[in-house]
Amino acid sequence: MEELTEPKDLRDWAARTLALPGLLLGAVLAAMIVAELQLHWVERVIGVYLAATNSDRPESGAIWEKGRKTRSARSAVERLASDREAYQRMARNAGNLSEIVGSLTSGQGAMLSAEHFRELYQKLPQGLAADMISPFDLLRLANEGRWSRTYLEKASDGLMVYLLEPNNHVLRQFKVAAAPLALLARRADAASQTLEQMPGFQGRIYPADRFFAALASLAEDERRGLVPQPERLLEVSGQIARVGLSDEALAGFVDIGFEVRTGSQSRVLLLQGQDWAVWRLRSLLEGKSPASRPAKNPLEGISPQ
Amino acid sequence: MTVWLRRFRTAFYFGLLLLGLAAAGLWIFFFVTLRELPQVPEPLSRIIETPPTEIYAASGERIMLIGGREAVPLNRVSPLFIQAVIATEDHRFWDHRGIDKLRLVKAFWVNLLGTGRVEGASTITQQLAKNLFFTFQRTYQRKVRELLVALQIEARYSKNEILEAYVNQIAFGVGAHGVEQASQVFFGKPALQLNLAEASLLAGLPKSPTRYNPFRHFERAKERQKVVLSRMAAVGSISAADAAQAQQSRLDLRPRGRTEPAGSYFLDLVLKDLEERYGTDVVHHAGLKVFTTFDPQLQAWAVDSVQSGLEKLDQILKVPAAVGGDPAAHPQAALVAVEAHSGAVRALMGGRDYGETEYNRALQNNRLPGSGFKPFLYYAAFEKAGLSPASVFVDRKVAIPIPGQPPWAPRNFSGEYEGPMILKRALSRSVNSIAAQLVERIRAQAVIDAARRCGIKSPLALVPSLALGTSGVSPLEMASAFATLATGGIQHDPFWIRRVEDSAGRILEERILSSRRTLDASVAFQIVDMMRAVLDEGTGNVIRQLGFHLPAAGKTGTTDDFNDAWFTGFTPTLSVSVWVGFDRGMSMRDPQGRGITGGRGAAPIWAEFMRKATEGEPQREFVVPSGIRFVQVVPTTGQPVLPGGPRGVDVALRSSQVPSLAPFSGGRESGLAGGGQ
Repeated sequence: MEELTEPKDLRDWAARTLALPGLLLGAVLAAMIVAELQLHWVERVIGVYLAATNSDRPESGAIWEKGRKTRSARSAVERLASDREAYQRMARNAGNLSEIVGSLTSGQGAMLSAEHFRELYQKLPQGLAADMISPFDLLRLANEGRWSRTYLEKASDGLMVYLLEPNNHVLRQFKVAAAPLALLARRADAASQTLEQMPGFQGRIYPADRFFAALASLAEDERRGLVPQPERLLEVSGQIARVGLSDEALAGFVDIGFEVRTGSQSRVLLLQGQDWAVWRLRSLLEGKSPASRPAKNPLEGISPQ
Repeated sequence: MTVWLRRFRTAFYFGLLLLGLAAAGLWIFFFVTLRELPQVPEPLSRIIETPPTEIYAASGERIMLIGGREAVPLNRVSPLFIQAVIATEDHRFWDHRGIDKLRLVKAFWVNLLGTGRVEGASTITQQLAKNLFFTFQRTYQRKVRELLVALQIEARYSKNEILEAYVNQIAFGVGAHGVEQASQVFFGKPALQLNLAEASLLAGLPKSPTRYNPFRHFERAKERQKVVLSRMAAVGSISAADAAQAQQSRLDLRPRGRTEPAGSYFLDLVLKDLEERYGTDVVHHAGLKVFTTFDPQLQAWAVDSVQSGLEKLDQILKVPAAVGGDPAAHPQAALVAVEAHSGAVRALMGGRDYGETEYNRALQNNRLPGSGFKPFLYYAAFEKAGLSPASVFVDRKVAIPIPGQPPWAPRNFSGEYEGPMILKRALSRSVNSIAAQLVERIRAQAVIDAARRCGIKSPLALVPSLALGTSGVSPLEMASAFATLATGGIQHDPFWIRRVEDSAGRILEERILSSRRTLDASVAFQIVDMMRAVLDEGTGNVIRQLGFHLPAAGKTGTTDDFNDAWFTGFTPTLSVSVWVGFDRGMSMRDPQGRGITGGRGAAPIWAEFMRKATEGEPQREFVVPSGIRFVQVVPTTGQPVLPGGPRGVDVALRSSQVPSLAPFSGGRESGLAGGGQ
């Protein structure tokens, strides 16, 4: 085997360089360079390698940042839209104003059709309804044909009600203050509670038989004033165990809570009796003079604008 | 072994070592760089899928797209544009695989020589990579990454896909991204219909969209177009004759007022409002649909009226043309049109030219309203002091004592005093001495209260001179506050967004158009009736001379030294405020030294706008409240005109003011009810 030696002089260097292995190496190098210039194989190899490892690399850079912002922005909008839809759905399905009031938080609003609001209006206690807006005004607005929708907006100090024409111009607006709202909200919560769990009844909860006995002793007009819709009680399935009288009047009406038991379940059905009839009954139940009346202004809290 | 041979040998081995080190370094560098290389989205068209936020006019016409791209496939783009882009940016695009090696070597050599000219060698693919992933910071590391991403893009996608992505995301300036949007913005046509001259102009813009903006620097843009055409000729895309012909051919740029985008001051306002409510990211990336109160036709008339009014003012003031580039050297103007019965802002101009200056003088520029503030003073005086339009005051020199300061002695604009006159005439002639007497009687706080009830929200100084408009307000506030008078005292807050929806059309919010009565209807009508006289026979009479004859009321305003000129006026349906002045608060005087008043500078703009805005509308009168009676009185005594006597002035009186006639005392004031002191 020939021993590898270092070239001794320049001639030797040149001879070795121009020998077959050197020339072959040069030719290969030259071919690679020419091929690169013609076929761009280096770029292709790197490009293919990068494409193959693409999924391992970070989603960084302007376009990905923009994508993230888009996703985050769309999800923020999605939340807004779905919240609003939920309120709208709740408002559409609400059977009374109490349900809507109870579901909204401050600053939120719900849009109802004019017809739906009229239905809810009819279910309000007469005094409260009339103090919000006169039924005759409502009738006039409905008859004019311009009132198309109603917007309810919960504020920290009450509920704003806007009666709107199709272009959202306000035909009438009025505010219902916080106190009546609290009572309305309570009515919304009544379904799955006992009388003790509901504020305003403490100390005024009576066994049903005692309540009905006192009721039977009243005159017919007093009974009608106390329970204007007795058919609602007749529809109840289960047994009325206890009855509570609220300590607050709202627009001339007082809540009467009927605790109904079905098996081990309890729920409260709220009806509104006229305040004078309720105080009369309460006097009977507590053995006081029937003349005593509440000092509270029943209309307090309603401020038409 | 000779010395030089030893040296040669050392150099050889050292070279080999360096080569080895360089190869190893390159290898390591490649893999280190690779770790931070961004992932390329697949498919590439995903880069143009961001949903745009769309802004609509009240008419339903879409007036602006934000954040999105109007992407078009390559076969919907003029081949001339494609050729122009390739010739200018990367003429070996079809041949290379991401890097143009010859150009790279040339650029490296030129940069190495340090001739001062920095040569760029970025191919279209590299530019695409840069735009998609990297900042514009010029570092070698960024350059290498950009190059590697370009190689990947080339390896993964076809040339057509790369070109399509490129032409759909490049910025052309004036808010136009992508060739389709640029073609619409600059030429009002689809990208497929671009001719050679238009295509070559557009292809030159991405190099520096601001510098070559053809709306602002047309000559520069033409020079750049020449470069593009010569490149096209040099690479054989077109003949030299075609290039010369295209260079000479006329370019029909789309008129600016309607394109850039229409009513940009208004859109700025909408965007700012949206960003405050939803955040910048939601506005720019969530694809909202925003329905505004904007009326494109009214806006076009507002643009025309403001620009032609200012051109006339330039001529009057002899503003030299040489100062054209400096917005502060020209008088500026603002115009706001508000729908009286809702507060909806229908048109808004915040300056002479949005392209020149984006400063929104309709909102941000609180300037002194001068006598334009007097209607609030008169309202307060009627309501608080029980005065009437027929109450008589004496126009005379006055000096209002101010504790701890020299007396305030306002002078009339004319410098003359006319003696006794009824308040209706005092307002229509804008008599300062009588305004001073009124504010002395009712106090400045009453004026502030009246202004607030009308909707003025800017800070107001509690000084008597407030009655002559010495606290700054914006044209938007003035238009909105006067709308309260137009509606007989029903105040609406101004607004510009009616409804916001998400991209699927679900409503996120909608405007409830609530209002409140803040002024007494009868007193408000008395003020409106007096303000009608401003147009019919007072300081705003130029409006009638210019051909606007519908029932309208208004008030001029001019500040000391003619720094500000105002006219705010309204019909029963539309309230419009116009302000004119220099940004730097310079005096507006013609070469003869005559100042520009509200009647001379702002009222003509108002008249021209209103003439167009109300063209074809039926004559609508202001609603007269039930308690109002019209009585003809003598303008100097306030006494009813006797049968057969000379014609007097019609004044609107509340029923309580009609019966109690008092003889003219010749003293400081008298007249019909409320005049006695």
